[in-house]
Amino acid sequence: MLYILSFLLSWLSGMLVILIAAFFSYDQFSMIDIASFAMMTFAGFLILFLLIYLIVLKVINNKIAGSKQFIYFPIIFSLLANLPAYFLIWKSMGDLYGSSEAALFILGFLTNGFVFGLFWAWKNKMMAETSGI
Amino acid sequence: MRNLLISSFLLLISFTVTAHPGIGIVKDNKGNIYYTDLGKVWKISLDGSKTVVVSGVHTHELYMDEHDNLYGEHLWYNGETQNTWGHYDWCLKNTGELVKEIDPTEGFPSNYSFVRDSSGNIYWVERFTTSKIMKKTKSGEVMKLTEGKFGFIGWLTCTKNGSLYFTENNKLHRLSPHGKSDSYRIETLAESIGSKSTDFSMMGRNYDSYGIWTDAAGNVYLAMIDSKKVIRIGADGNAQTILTSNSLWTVCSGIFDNNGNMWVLENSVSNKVRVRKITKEDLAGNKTAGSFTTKPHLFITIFTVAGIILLFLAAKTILNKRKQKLHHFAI
Repeated sequence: MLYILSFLLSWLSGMLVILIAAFFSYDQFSMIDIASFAMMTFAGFLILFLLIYLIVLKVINNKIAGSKQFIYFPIIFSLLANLPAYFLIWKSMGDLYGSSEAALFILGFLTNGFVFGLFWAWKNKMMAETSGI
Repeated sequence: MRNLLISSFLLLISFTVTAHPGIGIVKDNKGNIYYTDLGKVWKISLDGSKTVVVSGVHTHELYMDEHDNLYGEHLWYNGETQNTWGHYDWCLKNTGELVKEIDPTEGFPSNYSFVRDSSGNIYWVERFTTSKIMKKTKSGEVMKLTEGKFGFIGWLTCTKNGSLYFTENNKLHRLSPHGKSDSYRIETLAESIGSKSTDFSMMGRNYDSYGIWTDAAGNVYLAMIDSKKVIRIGADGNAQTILTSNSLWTVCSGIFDNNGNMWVLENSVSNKVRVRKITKEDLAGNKTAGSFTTKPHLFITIFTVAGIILLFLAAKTILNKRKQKLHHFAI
């Protein structure tokens, strides 16, 4: 359940950042734009989550402990685990969308990774506090 | 992995891409309005009743001559195996008889268009690296009016006296007869008329402006298909927004009727077509008729914030329950 919640929370946070950034980037951000960004980030993040995030989470959960998780988890997920997404966004730029859309996608995925990392660091801290009792 | 992701992206984007909307909206001498929905041609009579006058025709443009003969085309795709297009051009005579002006032919119309002046001259654009605007006189003589390395040239429109208006990317130009016969002068009437939009809304296009029409006072009207508005460009070149559509519809073209009311042809996200009448009173009062009834961007942003809060609270509840369980076992 927490995996699903963390996925949805991260994805929605990414979408929120895209939506807010769009207020400043475009004169018009229609339903077509919102649906396009929502579907593409959802599909991309789902694939990334199933193929990379879960594996990386399993590995780093064992290797990084304590409050360091609040620093390293967001960095690892937003930068390293997202590398395939960044590569694909860059590769498809020009064919599927322009540079401004690519920037929003990158911003969205950065947020996804950041929130996902923070969420699991927070979850681990909460459980560790209880275990400490 | 890469192919899988690219395929997903393509599949998803295909849901959001809509077709190439029509701009065909014309009037006859009595004031009846005719428009295309890309499958049929409709007539709106003076009493407001709507009837189909030509069916089974995929035509983007229409032309009504001074004798109330209506012209259009039918374009079709021959399938992926052949990957060719075909067309024929038709005329609905004022007697009600439907005749083929050009028999079914492979490819797109050449040296033919529905951009015509009152003398029956035909105008069209040849879009290449060096684009040309061409004219075919009623006697069949073909001549080049201008050529140049233009940006993307959108739809062409022609006034009764043969002045042509067209957009090149985000600029509006006029090409009009000048001095001696067969001499034309090009003027830029307005620049930076486009709005900043995403590539998704632009549907693969690199322009915002779509149908162009004029009024009796010589103002030029542009349907901004992406920003869902109509702008009026006066003699001073200033653009003024005079109409906006709601988020599901976008204005593609328009025309003024004999009483000075403006009729706009609109296309929906699901490719439906409708026509709206904007009265001259609304236009004179600069009312933004039918302005945005919804603001999806703002609402969805608010819903997203609410969703994040709910998900966070749900996660916190689950974690608290787990903590309680652990606490219980520890005791």
